[in-house]
Amino acid sequence: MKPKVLWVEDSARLELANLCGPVFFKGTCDLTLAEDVTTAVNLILAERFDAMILDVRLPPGSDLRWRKHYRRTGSNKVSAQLGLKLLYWLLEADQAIYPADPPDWVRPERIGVFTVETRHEIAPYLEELRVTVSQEKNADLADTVLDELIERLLEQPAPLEPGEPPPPLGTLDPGGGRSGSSAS
Amino acid sequence: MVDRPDSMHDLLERIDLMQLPIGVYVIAEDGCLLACNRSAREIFRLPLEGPIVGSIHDLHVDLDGHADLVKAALEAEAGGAGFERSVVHFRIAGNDVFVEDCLRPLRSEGDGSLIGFVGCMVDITDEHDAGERSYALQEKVEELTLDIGRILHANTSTLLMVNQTLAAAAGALAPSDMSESDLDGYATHQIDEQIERVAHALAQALERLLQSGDPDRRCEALEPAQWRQLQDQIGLLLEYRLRIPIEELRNPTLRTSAAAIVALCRVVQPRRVPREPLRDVLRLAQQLQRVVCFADVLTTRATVIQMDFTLRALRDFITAEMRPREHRERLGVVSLMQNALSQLAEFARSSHVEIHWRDRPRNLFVFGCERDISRALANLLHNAIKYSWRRDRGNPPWVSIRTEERDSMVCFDFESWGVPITHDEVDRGLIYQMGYRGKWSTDRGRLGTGIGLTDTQRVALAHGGELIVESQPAHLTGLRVDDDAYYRNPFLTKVTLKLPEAG
Repeated sequence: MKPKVLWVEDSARLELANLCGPVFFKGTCDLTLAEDVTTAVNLILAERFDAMILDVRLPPGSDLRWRKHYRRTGSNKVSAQLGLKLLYWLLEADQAIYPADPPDWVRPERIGVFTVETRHEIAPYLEELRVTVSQEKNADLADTVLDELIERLLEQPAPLEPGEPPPPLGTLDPGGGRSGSSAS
Repeated sequence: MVDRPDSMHDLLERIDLMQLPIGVYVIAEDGCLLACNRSAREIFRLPLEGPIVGSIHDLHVDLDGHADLVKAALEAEAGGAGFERSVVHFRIAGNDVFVEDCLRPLRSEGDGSLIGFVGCMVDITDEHDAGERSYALQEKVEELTLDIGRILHANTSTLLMVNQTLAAAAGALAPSDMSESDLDGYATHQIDEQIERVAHALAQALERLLQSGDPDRRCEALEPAQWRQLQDQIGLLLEYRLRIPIEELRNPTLRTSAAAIVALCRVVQPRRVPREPLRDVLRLAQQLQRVVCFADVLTTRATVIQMDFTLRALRDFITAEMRPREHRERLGVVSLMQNALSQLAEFARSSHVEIHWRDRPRNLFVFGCERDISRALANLLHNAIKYSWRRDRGNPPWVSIRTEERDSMVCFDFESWGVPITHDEVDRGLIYQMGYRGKWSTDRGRLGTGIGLTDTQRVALAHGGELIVESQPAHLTGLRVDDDAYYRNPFLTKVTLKLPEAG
């Protein structure tokens, strides 16, 4: 079965449509689009994804709670940064942001951020959330950038299932594995 | 301490200087400070009690400051005025202090000779600083506004270049059997059908290639993985509509597929596969690349044209306050509408939206600024075009315009079929708010500025008119308003600009 990937991006069908070409062409994953936060949350609560790629500047969609976050920051995608709020809900279970438990399959290793914000601008948040895969949008990117991001995420080690013990030290694959661990 | 003339003593005795809430000081003719009340001592940073020593000359920043003030006070007295009011700049204990100072000569009651001056002052340093900051800020805003106007103007030239280049590219890529001289004459569905035909033909050519020649020699022509990649493309090319439900993502996928096929055809070892089927595959893959690029170029061009209008509208809006105020005049309704139509004609053509304008009353006039009203009409037409949906494959989307007189008001109605505006957005006036983007607008404001209706409403109000927006479901759906699907169905939206009729 192909891995399922969710791309939360409001430009996915428009300016960034070209990035989907290589993904569908390869056909190695099932790509689902969510163009606003409400749709993303509904999909995340209904399905299990193997990887997610999120934009930071997202519209709220129809859910009143997300619209409220949006209005509080001046109804502006740039300042609202709903993508970050979505991440805090997903990874920190911050119910002040959204009053529901995020699914337990969500892991920072399988979440990538693809945004126009520079790494420098969002680094503190991503570090806090333990999200390591990110890509800055700019005009020089190849149309394979989304496919490469998906590959990077799917190559990350499989997240631990709830209750699964961590692998013993010294048994990790030195090439990738749970990076940062060492057999010392 | 300077000795005071007797008459000065008498005078000062009669005034309880300490009780006055403003700074009051008395100086001798030469500027020596003779007396200060508490407020003046606080301003001058003098001891709050006891004798005072010093000259007011030492406090002025400008060396001639006091002399000028005295001269003005004497002239004012000669002219019959009571006090001469000035803003005086002091430097006291190293700080800049601004006061509003009223100075008046003091004369001897006996012979009327000048014996000094009495001044009353209010510290306005904070207000002065705030005023200075505000002035500097205003200057900066004006400068930036002009800069923005210039940048937008420069971008317009860039967009013109992009538009013309894209038009040339589209002309070069246009399929030979679609020999329409006007690029915008192509209907989207015509191109879609062309793409589908070529994609299917390419799939069939690939099948022929895969079945042609000797299987052993085929393996020498390409790696097995490369043959599998070609094989995989057949299903994609035949079923791309099914496999990729999102319409906008089909062309990028087909382009990637066609490019991969072209690349593989170019690395095939010659003479290992029959030449004819390979040539067919290469030709059709290149044709698919061209026709998909052609469609993309047309879409991009429509976007650029829209962006051009948006930038022009934004520039007009931003620089509105900077331009000399235009005089109001009697303007023909037909000519105003024609002006707006000419601005948006290319956008409408490239978006394949038909404009229907009924009732062109030649004897209908409004009174106002031509530039503002034309911009307001263009904003409304732009929105109507942008948010129109196509009803079916055969019929293009449309915008209907009506211009007529109702109750002594000239009404410009723009009616379109497509994107809903929610009751809430209309009732709460959200759509008129600066930067607000319609909840159900398909481009979610990406290509807009969010100022169109704000600007238009301002123009309407400035001309004694109003702007009315009505949006209702185009069909009876049986859905309730609180059902999300309610707004996924087309709405009939009518936006009316009402302006007083100018006889």
